[in-house]
Amino acid sequence: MKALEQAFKASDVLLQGSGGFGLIMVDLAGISERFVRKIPLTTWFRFRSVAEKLDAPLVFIAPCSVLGTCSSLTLTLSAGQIRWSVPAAGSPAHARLPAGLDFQVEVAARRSFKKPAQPVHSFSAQRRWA
Amino acid sequence: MGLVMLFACVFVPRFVVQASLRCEPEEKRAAWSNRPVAILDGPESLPRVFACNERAQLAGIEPGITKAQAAQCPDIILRKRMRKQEQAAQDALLDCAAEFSPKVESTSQGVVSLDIEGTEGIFGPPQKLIRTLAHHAARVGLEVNVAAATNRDTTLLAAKGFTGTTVIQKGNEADCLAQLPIDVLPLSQAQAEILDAWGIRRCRDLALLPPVPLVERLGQAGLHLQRLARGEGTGMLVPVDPPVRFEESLELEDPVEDLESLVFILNRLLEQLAARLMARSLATDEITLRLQLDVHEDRDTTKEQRTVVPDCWVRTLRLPVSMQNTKVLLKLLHLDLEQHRPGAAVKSVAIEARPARRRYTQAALFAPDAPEPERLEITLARIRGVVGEMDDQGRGKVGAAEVLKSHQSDDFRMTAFTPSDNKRVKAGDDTGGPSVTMSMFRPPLPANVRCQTGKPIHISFAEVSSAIVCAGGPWRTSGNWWKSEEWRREEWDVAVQLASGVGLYRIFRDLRQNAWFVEGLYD
Repeated sequence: MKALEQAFKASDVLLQGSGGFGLIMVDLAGISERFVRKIPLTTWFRFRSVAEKLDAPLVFIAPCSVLGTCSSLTLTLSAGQIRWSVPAAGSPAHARLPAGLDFQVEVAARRSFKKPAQPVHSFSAQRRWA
Repeated sequence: MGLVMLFACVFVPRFVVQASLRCEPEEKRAAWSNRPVAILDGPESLPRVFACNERAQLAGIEPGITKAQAAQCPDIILRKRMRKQEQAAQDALLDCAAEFSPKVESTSQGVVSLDIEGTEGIFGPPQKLIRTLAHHAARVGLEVNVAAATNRDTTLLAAKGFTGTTVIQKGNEADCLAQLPIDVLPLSQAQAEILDAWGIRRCRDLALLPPVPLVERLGQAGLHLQRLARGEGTGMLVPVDPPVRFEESLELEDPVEDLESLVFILNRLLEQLAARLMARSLATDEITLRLQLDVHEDRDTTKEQRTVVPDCWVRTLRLPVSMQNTKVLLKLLHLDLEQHRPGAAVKSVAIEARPARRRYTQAALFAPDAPEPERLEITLARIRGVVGEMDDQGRGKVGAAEVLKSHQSDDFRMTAFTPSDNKRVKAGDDTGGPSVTMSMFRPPLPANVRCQTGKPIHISFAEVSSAIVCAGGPWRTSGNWWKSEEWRREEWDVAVQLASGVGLYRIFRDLRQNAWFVEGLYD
């Protein structure tokens, strides 16, 4: 919980502080889902009211969807499959490397649209050497 | 007019008193302006009055009397003489003068002479220049007399003798100096007694004496004094380099314990420093704060462990960009002191600013907005206050990460965050698409890993417990075997089936401890 408190306080300082950033991203992905779900809704509303006055988008990365109506856009990102390199026959075990990841993105909610049904998009991310 | 202005002289009346009071907060100085002030010097056992202000003089205080005698004067303020403050005041005076001329002489304590020939095109006529000079000196907390004339010695005598600003036209030197008391001349004790015995009270009296009998009685020194009194001095200006050390200090009468009062004092010192830096068209990129603490030694010998409080508290703020703004510097010092409290009452404060070139920024027309450096620095200092300054491994928590040239995984250090347009690279530019990144767990998460034929098949850590779907590895690395921080590890990339999908983790086995850890998650 301490890490979560620190993350929110630091985000708050950043939002109230200097301005001029192109994007503000708060990564809560490493925090357990049960802690993230305990965050009171008022916190998200407060962030929403601050973010509405900013030029830069405010993005939260969380292990689950918790912002509800406070977000103008919610994307659900899920890992599809892992692509491994194919070593030549007889190569040692460590020649096999993860070459990339396939992701699926779904627009879970968008405040400006009434119909929530959105298509699922896929994209691939690969290792720099691959 | 035929006016040829060459020199100006800045004189600080009662310099020692002014130097002692200039760093006091404005309100305090205003409150003390109508009270007698005496500066004490000498051994601790018997301090004597070294200098005093006009009020004190009127009340009968004079240099040389003891502290006990001076203390009998009602409402008197007694201060200890601080040579560092006098040096800082002299430096501040030189900084002011250097703003108007490159040829500046530190004539004596509280006296600065400068060559102002050829500056009319920049600063206007001499009357205007010396008025501005006096105004700038007031900004650094010094009330000065300024005089301008065609020779250096005359300017010095006029600055000593006339209050405010004085301009002496060429040819009028003798007339202007005539009314001044003889005390403005550099007289020795013996010369002063002789002239007093002759009834010489003013410069005019000395100027009218016949030269030959004067030389017969006072020697060549007498003739020199007469020339000075006639405004015929021939002293040469000896320019000095302006000071490069920007330091202001203040000895507190009563030790200060609370931070708010300390910040109030810091504000005054920073204002003085900023005024000096501004006078030299400089800024600062490093501020060092030195606090002398009022530490009482714990004499209780029965205690086994004593808390050792250092008597000097030093904090250094390194700024990513050069700054001059007092409010920003004060806020940064305030935030730093909130995190690092001195732990004892403060009895003296000194701030030193490392001079740096001023920042000139020309924003590009199509460049995106960037945070204002000063405000960004305050924001980062605030965040530092929330999350702390260092992690368990002694690395900074706030800033920009810089990867170090090392084979060790996750070896980096935090550097000052400075938004720079040149370094903006769009994600995926080099590969043509999104690239896989890794979220690191710091510190690495301990894990239980089950292996079969040397290959991990099951992992459990934090809230995850799952069979390993696919694994790549091992990759063995080691380093620093010549140091105590030796490391040896065996890395694996493992795919784990989770409720939300498949997760790809980097795990490693510490070969020295024979323990498994999860280092990061590919995402």
